Amino acid sequence: MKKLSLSVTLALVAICLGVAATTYADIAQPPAPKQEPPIPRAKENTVKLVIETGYSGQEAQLWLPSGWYAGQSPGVGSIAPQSGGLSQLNTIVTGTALSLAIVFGGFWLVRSRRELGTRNTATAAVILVVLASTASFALANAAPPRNYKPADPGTLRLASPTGEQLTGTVRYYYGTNDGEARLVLPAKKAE
Amino acid sequence: MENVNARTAPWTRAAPATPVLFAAGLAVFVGAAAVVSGLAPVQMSVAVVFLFAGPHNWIEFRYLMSRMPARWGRSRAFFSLALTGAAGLTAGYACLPRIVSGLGYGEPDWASAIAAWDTLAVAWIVVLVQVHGRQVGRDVGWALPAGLLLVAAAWWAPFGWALGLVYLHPLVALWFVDRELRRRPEWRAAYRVALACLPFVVGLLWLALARTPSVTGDDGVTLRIAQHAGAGLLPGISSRLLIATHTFLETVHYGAWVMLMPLAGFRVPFWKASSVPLARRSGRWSAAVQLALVAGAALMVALWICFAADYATTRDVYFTVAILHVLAEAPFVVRAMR
Repeated sequence: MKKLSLSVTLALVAICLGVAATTYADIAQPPAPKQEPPIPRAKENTVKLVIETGYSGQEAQLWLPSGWYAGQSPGVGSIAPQSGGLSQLNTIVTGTALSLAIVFGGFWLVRSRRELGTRNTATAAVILVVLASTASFALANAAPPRNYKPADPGTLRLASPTGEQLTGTVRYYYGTNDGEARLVLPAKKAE
Repeated sequence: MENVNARTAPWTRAAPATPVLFAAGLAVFVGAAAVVSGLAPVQMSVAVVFLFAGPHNWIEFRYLMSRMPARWGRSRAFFSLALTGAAGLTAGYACLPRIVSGLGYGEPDWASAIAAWDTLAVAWIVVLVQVHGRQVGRDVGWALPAGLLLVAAAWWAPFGWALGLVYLHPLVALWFVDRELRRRPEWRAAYRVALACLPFVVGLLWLALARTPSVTGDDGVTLRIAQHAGAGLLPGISSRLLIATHTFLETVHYGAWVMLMPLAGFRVPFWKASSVPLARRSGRWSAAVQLALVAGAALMVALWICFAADYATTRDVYFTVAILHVLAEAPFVVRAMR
C-alpha cells in the first residue's frame, strides 16, 4: 500500500479539523428564553413581621398572610387567595347553583301551593330543625383532630422577654429544609 | 320458547319457611358482618370485594335487565337517555385522571374536575326525572331545585360529595330488595325491622372503634382501602372505624344483591334469560340476552382471576368501571317513582 506523503497527511488533518470546526460552529444555539425571569423589585419578597407575646401556656404560632402558601414562587406575584378553602370557580358555581335552587324551589312551591299541605310543611320544618340542631351540636362539640398535640414553644419564650411588641420588615426566602421555618434577626448594633 | 313471565312464574328458589327464619338469617348476617368488619376491617374488605364484586354486578345486571320492558314504546326517550348517559358518564369518569393531567395535577384541578362530573351526573338524573314525570303526568318541579342543591353541594365539597356517594350507594340495594319484597309482606316486615336496626349496628361499630388507632399497614392495598373509605378526607377519625363502616355497608350491599335478591327478586333461576322481557321481543333478542348473561358470567370469572393475579390494580380498575352500575341504578329508581 502506498504511503501518504507528509504534506498530504497534514492536508487531510487540516481538512478534518476544518470540517469539525465548521460542524460545531453550525450547531444551532439553544433557543434563548423569550423573556428573562423577572428580577424581584427592591420591595418584593418583603413582608411586615410582627412579633407578639401571647398568654402564658399558649403554644407558639406563626401566622402567614392569606394567599401565601408553601410552593409559591417568589417574584411571580401572589396567588389569588382562597376564601374558606374554596377556589374562586368553586365559590362562583356553588353560589350560583344555590341561588338558582332557591329561585326555582320558590317557583315550584308557588305553583304547587295548593298541594302542599300543613303536614308536609311541618314534617319538612321538623326535619330541617333536627338536622340543623344535630349538626350544630356535633360541630360545636367536635373533638380536636386525633393526632393533635400542643406545639412546644421550646426556648422561643425568650425571644421577647419583656412582652413588648416588635415590628419590622423582613425579606422572606424559601428554604429547603422541610418542616423548619427560620427567622433570622439582626444582632443588636454595638453602641 | 318457554313462556314464563316474571310476575306469573311460580317461586322455584329455596326460601326460608317462615318470616322468623328469614329474620333470624338477616340478624345473623348483619351481626356477623358487623363483628368481622370491626375486628379485621382491611382483611374483610379485601375478601368481600374479591368474592362478591363480580357476582353482585352480574346479578344486578340481570335484575335491571328484567326491569326493562320488552318494547320501550313511550319510554324510548327515557331509556335512550338512560343508556347513553350512563355509558357517557362512565367513560368520562374513567377519563377524568387524563383530563385532570391535561389541566395540570393539583387538588383544585381535581376538585373542579370531580365537581364538573358530579354536575353532569346530577343534570342527567334531573332530565331523567323530567322525562319520566312528563310521561306519567306527575309534578316533578322539585327535581330542578333539588338537583341545583346537589350541584351546589358538589362544588362546595367535591371530595365530600364523592365520599357521600361511596357510603350511600350500598344502601340503594336495600331499597331494591324492599321493593321486591312487596309480594312477600310477611318477609317485608322482618326486613324493615332489620333495616331499622342498621343505624344502631353502625352506631355500635362506631362506639367500639372510636378510640382505636388507625390501621398501620402502609402497603398499596391498605392505603387504597383507607383512601376509599375517606381516611384522607377525615384525618380526625380513626381509619379503622372508617374502613370498618365502609366494609360493613359494602358487605350488606353485596348480601342484598347476592343472597336476598335471588330469593326475593327472581321467580326463575336468574341465569335463565327466559323471564327477561327483552328476550321475548324476538329470537335474536332472546339470544342476545342469553349471550349477555353468559358474557357477564365470563367477566365475573375474569375478575376473580385478575384479583388473584394483581389485587391492587384490579381493585383500582374495578372501582373505576363500577361507577357504571352505580349510575345504572338511577334510571330504575326514577322509574319507580309514581
